[in-house]
Amino acid sequence: MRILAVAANTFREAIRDKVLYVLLFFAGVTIFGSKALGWISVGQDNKIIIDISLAAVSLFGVLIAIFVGTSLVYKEIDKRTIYTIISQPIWRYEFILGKYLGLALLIGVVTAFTGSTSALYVFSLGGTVGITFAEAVLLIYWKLLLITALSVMLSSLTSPILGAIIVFSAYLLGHATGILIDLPPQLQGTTTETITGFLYNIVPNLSHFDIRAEAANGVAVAPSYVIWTLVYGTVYTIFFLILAAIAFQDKDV
Amino acid sequence: MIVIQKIILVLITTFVAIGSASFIQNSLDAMRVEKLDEELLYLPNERLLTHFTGGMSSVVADLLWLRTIHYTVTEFHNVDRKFTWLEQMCTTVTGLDPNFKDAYVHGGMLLAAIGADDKSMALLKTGMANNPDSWEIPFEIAKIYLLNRRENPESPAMLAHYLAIVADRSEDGSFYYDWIENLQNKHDLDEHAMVIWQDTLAKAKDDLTREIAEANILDLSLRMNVRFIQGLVDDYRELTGKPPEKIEEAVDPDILGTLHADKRRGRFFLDAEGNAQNTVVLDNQTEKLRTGLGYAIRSFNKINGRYPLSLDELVRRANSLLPRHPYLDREWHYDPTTGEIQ
Repeated sequence: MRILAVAANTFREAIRDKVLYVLLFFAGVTIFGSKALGWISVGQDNKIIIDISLAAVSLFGVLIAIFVGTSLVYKEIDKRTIYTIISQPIWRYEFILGKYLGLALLIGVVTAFTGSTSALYVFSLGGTVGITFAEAVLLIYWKLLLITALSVMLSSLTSPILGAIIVFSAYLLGHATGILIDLPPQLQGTTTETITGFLYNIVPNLSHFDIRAEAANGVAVAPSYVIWTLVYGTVYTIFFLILAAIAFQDKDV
Repeated sequence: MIVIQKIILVLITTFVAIGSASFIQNSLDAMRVEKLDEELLYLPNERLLTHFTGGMSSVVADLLWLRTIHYTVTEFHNVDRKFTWLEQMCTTVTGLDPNFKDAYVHGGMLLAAIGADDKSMALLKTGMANNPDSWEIPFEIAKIYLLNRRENPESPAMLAHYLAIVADRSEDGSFYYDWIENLQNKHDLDEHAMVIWQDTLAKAKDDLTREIAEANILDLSLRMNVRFIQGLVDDYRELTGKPPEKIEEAVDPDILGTLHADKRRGRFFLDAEGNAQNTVVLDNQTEKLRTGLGYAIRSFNKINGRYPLSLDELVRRANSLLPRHPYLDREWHYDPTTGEIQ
């Protein structure tokens, strides 16, 4: 109940953040503006619009997770409002979890809104979206939950600016982990290959959550792939939340 | 400061700032001359690009595909059609988005249209491997055998093979099975080619495809006219025991007049071997062969760091034969210093 109370309050607070509406505005401009690129293609309008719409859902979702998430706990500490909370009979981990769930709910609402707007836009232009589109939106949301958990963890450790830089770098690295195993032939069998192989297994591979190309091209994705990816994301999310709780437990506010 | 003064000040400032910026922008645009080849010189390898798109590889593929279309349309309307970067652009797009069927189909069609059959085949076969449910890609391969390799003796068999794959994967397989049966009865492949291009023209969604389809329909119609006139020449030869010296001896002047009335259809004539020919057909063949040879010369240059010293060296390295110039009284003129072929 305490966790839910913190979550509800966090949601109410975050939904009033002006940054959210600016980002939603630009997401809308990107989605509706994708038609312009469709005009100069040779009959690939549907594909391009779906691609860009899903990219907008992902990118602006990440920006919301970063900008709102990295200041979530820091703001409370900075404004000294945290004292009124931790003086109540609430565990520190409950506070962190409540904050996370509130932001997760906000991102869920934003993702559902932008995802359904994209789908309706595609339908209005005479295109179609299949089940893969819904799976793509679901995986984008699960990726955003992971990013949000990382943002919340950094929010309790460092300043919002540094946290945002670290999370954004982690986002880019998460999409580039393939390079750690796609090495030139001269590095195969060397210590470098062992190290990069180890790094590949510990850095969250965010490319697994990306099935936008399949959604845009109408290619079916195996349900087992989606389920395993959800499990993969859940493992890392829980890991970051545990680290966040540990970091905040002994933090001198 | 009162409100009116503030509004006037804002308007003046905006006007001056945007006016200055527009003027400077136009000056900068005039200074910057866009060189297409230099710009594309920095197209990175798609394998590397995939890792550094931040999860946006399919969007990057879309944007690069739009660039490919723009590049192709620009090159198509150039006098000197090089299409230097077409293959790499198509490979990069499909490398970033292996499920982008249209990129394989259009890329394959465009490469085949410029005479780069082997590159087209390689792209399309990669597409078939990445899109095992697609019928459009094997259909495009079948078209290459039908339209570009008509004279090749194995073409009817390969055409039937790929049409069988198309029939298996498409919803209306019966249409293709009838076609395969016609092929096995050895019907004229030009008639099948005409059906394909007329279908392509009817379904074309862009001007470039329409232009290519119309050009090929005209070419096929002229080839059919050439075969008709050749039939008249053969009849004359059989009747008189000697070949005609001029085309007017074998063909009714009224028929020739009708055929020559449309300037787009060029002129019909007899070549040095006494066979019927048409200037537009030969010009198209010449252009296709010239573009294909140009492509091979530039590929040679990329691999060996220099242009071939002669066309003989080019074909020897490729274990191939130099195609005869379609005009029997002309030869290929090759400049080894520039790699240009005329």
